[in-house]
Amino acid sequence: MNNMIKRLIPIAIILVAWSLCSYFEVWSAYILPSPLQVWNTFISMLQNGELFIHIFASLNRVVAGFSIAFVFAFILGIVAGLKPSLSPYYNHIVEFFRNVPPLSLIPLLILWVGIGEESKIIIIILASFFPMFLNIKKGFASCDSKLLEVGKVLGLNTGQRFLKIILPSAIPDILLGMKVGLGYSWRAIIGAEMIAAASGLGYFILDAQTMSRSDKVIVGILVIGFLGVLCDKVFSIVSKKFTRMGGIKDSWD
Amino acid sequence: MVDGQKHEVLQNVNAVFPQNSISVILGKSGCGKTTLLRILANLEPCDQGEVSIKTDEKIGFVFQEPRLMPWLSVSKNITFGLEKQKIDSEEIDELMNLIGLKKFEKAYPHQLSGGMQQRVALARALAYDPSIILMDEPFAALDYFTREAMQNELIRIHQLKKKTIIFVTHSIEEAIAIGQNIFVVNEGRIHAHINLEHHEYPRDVLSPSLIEIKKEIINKLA
Repeated sequence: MNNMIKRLIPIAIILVAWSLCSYFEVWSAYILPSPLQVWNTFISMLQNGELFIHIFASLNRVVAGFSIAFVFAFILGIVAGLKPSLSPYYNHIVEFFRNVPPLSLIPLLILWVGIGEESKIIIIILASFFPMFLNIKKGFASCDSKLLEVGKVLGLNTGQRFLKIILPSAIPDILLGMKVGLGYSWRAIIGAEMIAAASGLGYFILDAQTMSRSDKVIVGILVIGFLGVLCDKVFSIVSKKFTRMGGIKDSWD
Repeated sequence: MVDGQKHEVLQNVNAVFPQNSISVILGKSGCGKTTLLRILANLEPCDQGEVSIKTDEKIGFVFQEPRLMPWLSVSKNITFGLEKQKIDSEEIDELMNLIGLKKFEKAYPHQLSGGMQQRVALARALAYDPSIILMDEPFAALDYFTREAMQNELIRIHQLKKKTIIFVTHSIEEAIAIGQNIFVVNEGRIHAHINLEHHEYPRDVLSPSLIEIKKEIINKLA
């Protein structure tokens, strides 16, 4: 049996069970709408463009927040990885904030920057910075000193050693950090939008709930899941281009 | 410095390594021969004494392990130390043929055997075009036949390119097979300097005169 069929079997079972439950009205349509109703809602939301507005709003925030977080994480990761002597200054602070869920900061953020785009982007930065920072730091810190000696005996200066040895050897960790950071961004933005927003997928789900539209809630959840998987896939394809058996193809010379 | 204690590795080492010849530093494990080589390559600080090398000399180094960049193909590894505009593709092709890996230029280090990787490391040092090549037991991890082939390769390269080679090893046979000047190191000092310049290559390590020399070296090391 090929894998596609194996993948479809559990989905088919869920769909059949779901259809049966709604057909025999095990729960009322208000609690569990039928698959068909969800599908129709999905199609009509695609047609009137409502869905795209929310996807675009969330995606926009993720891209902005994630990019800013990456720049910070990359620069600070280099410093932290290559200058371990500085770690007493920041290590405890990083540990502290790493354990504070970004969503718990929302009350303060709303107070300080309002409910506009800024508070959402700051939440994403806070959520995705730490996994990226820690992985990037590890990537730079774990560069093989034996390879660095090779650079030394071949007469490379400090800058060349960084570009030709330290950076390429850190790439797999950098990509891993970005992948984890992207996942964290998605989760954080949905949560943030459910608390204070006027657009975005999180807002859309909460809005549907207050309108008692369970079908829309389900559409929102499915779209979030699909977008997450899609992001991950795109990222895997991009990172495969860069990595090769734990290293990097000839793309860094 | 090991465990807060200072260890004196080398004392009163005084040696002149002749130009364009293969000098071998021979000694038991832990006698300080690698440290001596690393001091020559400026990889290790030296508390006392001095190393005098003509300042314009380029020094190449071949390590005990291949130390190739895992993310670069064989040909990119060989040209690793060179600036892009200085890469002469004909010369690199020649080097690839010399080490017998022309077919593998697009391969990555993990696809090669240990001996092949070490040959790439040697080619990388040669591509850098140094006048002095320092080698730290580069063939220690190879099997007998690969090792012998690599030794002959080294002698061939030496005769072809007239480089000064300083070779560290703990194998007496290897020292006798390739060395023109053998410096026997024991307990951080140079105990003997044996001149083999009049022995032509290829040498038969089992010939009576070389066996005599082997006995002499064993006595010096014991």
